[in-house]
Amino acid sequence: MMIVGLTGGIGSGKSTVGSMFQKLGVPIYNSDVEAKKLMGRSKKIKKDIEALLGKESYLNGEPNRGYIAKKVFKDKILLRGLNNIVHPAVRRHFKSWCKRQNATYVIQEAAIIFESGNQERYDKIILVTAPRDIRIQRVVDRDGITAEQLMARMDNQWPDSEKERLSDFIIENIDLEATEGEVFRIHHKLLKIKV
Amino acid sequence: MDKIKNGLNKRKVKLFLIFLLCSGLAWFVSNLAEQYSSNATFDINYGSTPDSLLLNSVSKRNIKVRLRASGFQFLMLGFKNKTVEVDLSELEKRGSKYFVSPSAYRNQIENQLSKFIRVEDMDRDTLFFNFQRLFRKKVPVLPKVTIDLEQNYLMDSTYTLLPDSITVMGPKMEIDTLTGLTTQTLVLPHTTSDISKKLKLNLPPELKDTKYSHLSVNLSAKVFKFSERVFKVPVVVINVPEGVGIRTFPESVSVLCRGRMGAIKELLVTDFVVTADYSDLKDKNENVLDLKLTKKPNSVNVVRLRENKVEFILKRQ
Repeated sequence: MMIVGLTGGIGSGKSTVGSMFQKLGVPIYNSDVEAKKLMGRSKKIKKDIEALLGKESYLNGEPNRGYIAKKVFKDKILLRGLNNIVHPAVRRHFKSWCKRQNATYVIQEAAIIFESGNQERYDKIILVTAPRDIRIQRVVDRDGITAEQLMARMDNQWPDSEKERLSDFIIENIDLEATEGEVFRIHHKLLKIKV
Repeated sequence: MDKIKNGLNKRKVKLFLIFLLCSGLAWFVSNLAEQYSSNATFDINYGSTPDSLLLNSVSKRNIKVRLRASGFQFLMLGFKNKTVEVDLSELEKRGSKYFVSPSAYRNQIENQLSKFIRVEDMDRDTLFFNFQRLFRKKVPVLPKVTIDLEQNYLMDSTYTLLPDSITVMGPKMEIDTLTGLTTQTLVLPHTTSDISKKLKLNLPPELKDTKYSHLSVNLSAKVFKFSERVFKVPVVVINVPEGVGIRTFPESVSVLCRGRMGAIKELLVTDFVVTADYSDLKDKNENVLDLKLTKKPNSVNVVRLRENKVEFILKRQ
């Protein structure tokens, strides 16, 4: 079974594209969503995060996301430490999830495939792009955060120009109808690929 | 004992007992048909209190009445709830006292009794009332609503609340403390369809004498799947001095639109006009003009210029 990575900068519309593939019957694994779930239910992850960031990382047994984000936002060592706890657990979970799927290919949606050097783990990579100002506007409208806050987060991600060089398919996601057409075209290409 | 039982089983004795019962009944019925006078006590319900007043206390909660009626009527009255209503809509006022005269309430009570019952006599006390003045005030509804839209979904402007304010009526001391009424909490995650919900208002339990024009409000919102499109719109420079030509860099700027897929599809570049006003230029040595979107379609929800300024050069003509 082929493993396809779906990535893109914040506000590019990864999940929108993911849901379009899902409608075509492709199993989608959303790494962010699953990571959050694992942080909530895995005792080992909880123990490791509390050891790294302090007991305040969990409130009433649930991850204290505001606190965790604040702690790792400006401290790259802590961020790396957190990723070293969560990412291997997500990888293991993804592997066991893959075993349960019955499809020509599955898609793993992840925001930082290139930034974390994981591109080799995928047979193909789809990059979702949109102009930076449009992405900013989308997230500001959607999440109600300021453009400055968002730009600080965007600066931790690679620019699209670098990701484009390493991707197999690029979808510019502005016009939804055009995006759907592109998803359909890529889906049929992927179905024809033999790994 | 056995002798009595055997006696009762005899046909003659049975017949005798049946006739005795029938004659007893006949006697009872004939007596009920007779007219009697008797006293009764009715509890009083005070209804139709004027909207601007709150009833604090009354001089009487029940009334003694001497009635004349047949035994049947008294029998039926015995099974009924003995309550009469006194209508306060035509309350009289003298000075600061509110009252209902005996003649007024006697009429009301007589009208509520069966036409076969006659009131012979009744308490002749005037009914006095102690009221508190009620005040009105309009307070806003404060929604405790969180609506999270699924990706690629938008809400037409914002949700509406009907009504968005509530008229409260109560003692001044109570309603002065009220600045708004919150709704019950509503959290709608991953919303993809229109919303229509009835939300109960949280009424402060400590405001015991306050009345509310509504106890709930209706929340509604139109939710739709959106798409985006970028248009390249030529910049139109206005108020350029005579004899001078102008060229902007770039000559066209992009405009981002977000709205219903159908509406987005039908848009044309001619639906937009982007202007730069040369007369707004404060420093004539500057070579940057501010852009404004002076025409945009109403059919889409978001229309934004992606660039706010253009550079320009002047050409002598």
